[in-house]
Amino acid sequence: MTGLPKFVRDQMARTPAPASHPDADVLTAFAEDTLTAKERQGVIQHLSECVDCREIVFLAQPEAAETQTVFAPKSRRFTWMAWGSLAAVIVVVASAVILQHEQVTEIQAPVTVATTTAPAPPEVKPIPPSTTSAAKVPVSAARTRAEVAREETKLDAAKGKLTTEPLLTNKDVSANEERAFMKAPAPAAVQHAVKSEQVIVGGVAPQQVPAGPEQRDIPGQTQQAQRPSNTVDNVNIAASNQGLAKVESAPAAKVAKKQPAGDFNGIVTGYTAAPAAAPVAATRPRWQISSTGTLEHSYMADNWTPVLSDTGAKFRVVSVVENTVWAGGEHGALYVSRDGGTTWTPVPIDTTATITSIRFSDNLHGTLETDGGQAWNTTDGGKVWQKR
Amino acid sequence: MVSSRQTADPARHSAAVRSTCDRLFEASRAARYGLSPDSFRDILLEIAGQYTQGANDPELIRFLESLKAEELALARGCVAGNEFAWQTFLTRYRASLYGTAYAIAKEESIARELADSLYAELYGLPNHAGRRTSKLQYYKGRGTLEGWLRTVVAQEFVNRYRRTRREVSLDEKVETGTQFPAADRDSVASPTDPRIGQAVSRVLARLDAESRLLLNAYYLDGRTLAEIGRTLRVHESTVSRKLERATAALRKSIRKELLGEGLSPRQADELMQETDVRDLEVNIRENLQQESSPTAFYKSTGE
Repeated sequence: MTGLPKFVRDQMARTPAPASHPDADVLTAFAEDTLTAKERQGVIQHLSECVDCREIVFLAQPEAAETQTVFAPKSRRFTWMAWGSLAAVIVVVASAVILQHEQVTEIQAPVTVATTTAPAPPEVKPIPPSTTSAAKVPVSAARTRAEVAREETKLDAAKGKLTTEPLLTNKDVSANEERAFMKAPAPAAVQHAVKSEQVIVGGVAPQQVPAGPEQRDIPGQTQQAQRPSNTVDNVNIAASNQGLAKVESAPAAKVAKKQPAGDFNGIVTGYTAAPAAAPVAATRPRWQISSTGTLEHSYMADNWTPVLSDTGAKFRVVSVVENTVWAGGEHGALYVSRDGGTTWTPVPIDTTATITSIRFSDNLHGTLETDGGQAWNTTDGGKVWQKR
Repeated sequence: MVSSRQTADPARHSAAVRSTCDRLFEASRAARYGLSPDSFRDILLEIAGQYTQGANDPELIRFLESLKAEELALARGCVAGNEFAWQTFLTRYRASLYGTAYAIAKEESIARELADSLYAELYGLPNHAGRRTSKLQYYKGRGTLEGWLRTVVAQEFVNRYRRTRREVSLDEKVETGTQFPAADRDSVASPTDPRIGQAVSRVLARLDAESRLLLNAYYLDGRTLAEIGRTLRVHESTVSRKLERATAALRKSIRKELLGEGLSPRQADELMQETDVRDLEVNIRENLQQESSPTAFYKSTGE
């Protein structure tokens, strides 16, 4: 591209800046393309003359930050042999997944027997979080009733030990503000590490009632607890206003008590519930994270099976989007299952902080955040995460 | 023309407008943030009054429905001191706020200071009457709250750190070693000739806003095509094409004006081909890398 001579650039720079500037709301609406055509033209006119507002608009772009690509395809050009090889690999992997899924389904059949007669679980090889290979981690086989009972005892003991790690430290706020904040109960993002917290998106209703005696006092949740464990309500997220598609994790139980009965379910907020759609197949499990940071799933009431326990990872958040399950935790541990939790793939993410939030507004668009303030976005369902 | 105060008066509005406000109140679930239907309606109509003066009811309804009602309710709940609203705000946006500050400032200390001070302003600092005033009251729901927070962080960063860096004096430029090309006394075609400056000013004044924005963003601000494309929500190739077209048209117009000022075609072409000092550096580098003759440095033996 032929450039411009310096004397032209100097003259361009001499244009006086306008006296008044659009407010942050208008600049944001411009960046998000929600202004009317006339308003947009006005902002373009202003930005063409105002170096400060241009800088603000460019800096405020979420993609202005460093981009880090995870699992980026190495090359977009494939020879016909490469396509053939890829197709063969897909067929082999799909066959293995189907066979394994059938095995898992057989093992987890709802039978009440004193001892399980499940076949020996496949060997689970530990996978270091930093590996980039797409290794599959099979799910642990069903446990004996004794093991389940022991685990329940541990969970009951942990119920009274809700950690209330404050979201804000002394460094974050001034002394005046700290008093106000420290009175508030711990935010839900941290409570994920303790018990029964999960962020459910994509229109899937909560599959379990959060633990805690206070929350059981809410009539809406009591009704929820009585719902059959293998039935999930598909809730249509109303598209009435932006932001309503986002689903938030449960705030503290103390705050939840103040809400009108039946209005706040403690987990899913920010949407208008529509009548339940077709029920989901009974093979879809429920998910939770134990007080020790173990990811667990359950196909039957109160029968929880640890998942990814051999990885040694301590999880803090689990997020379910239809058949895709995301689990994030300490030291940047991030795993995804695209088949409802049967097989898992570690997702390398360049952080040693704890992943505390995984939110998807739909199947493709999601945000991942750590307790160190870092954040990543994805627009393709988590295949590529771009650092903000 | 309807003033913003008249627009904010619910009694003036039709049932359709009031019904829209009530519907938005329900959809945004503003009640959980401690807002009443009346107070939320007042907020909506006040905002509408600022942006849609003189609008009829369908336009007003369209505007109201374009607002991010749930986020607006959350922000105003925080302003009102609702604890649940503030907890929700923290859960959703605290990490994003600090993350944006880090991404913009690139330095941890500056990012931390930026985020902390903005955080305090969002929570609300007590005014002279002892009441807490939060910066969130300025959020009006035209864009997302997250986008607004990013813009506010960027604004704060530009105001505090970047503006002072840009205002560099001539003396400071000399100290840093910026070169200023010497004026050519023998040629009337000098960039310092006021006629040339006037000619360029006339051409720049005729530019349309979009072309000026593209040219300023690319040549003055040093933005990449990708950054410009993201901001204007067009593909990078579209930006490249428009920029090339704008640059060519600008050069052609300036040359025409220079000829009109009495410069000869040769002088005009020489001016338009004038390179920046930075470009000269590249040429020098290329020249230094030229291979010399193998016998250039060998002394002749006289044979």
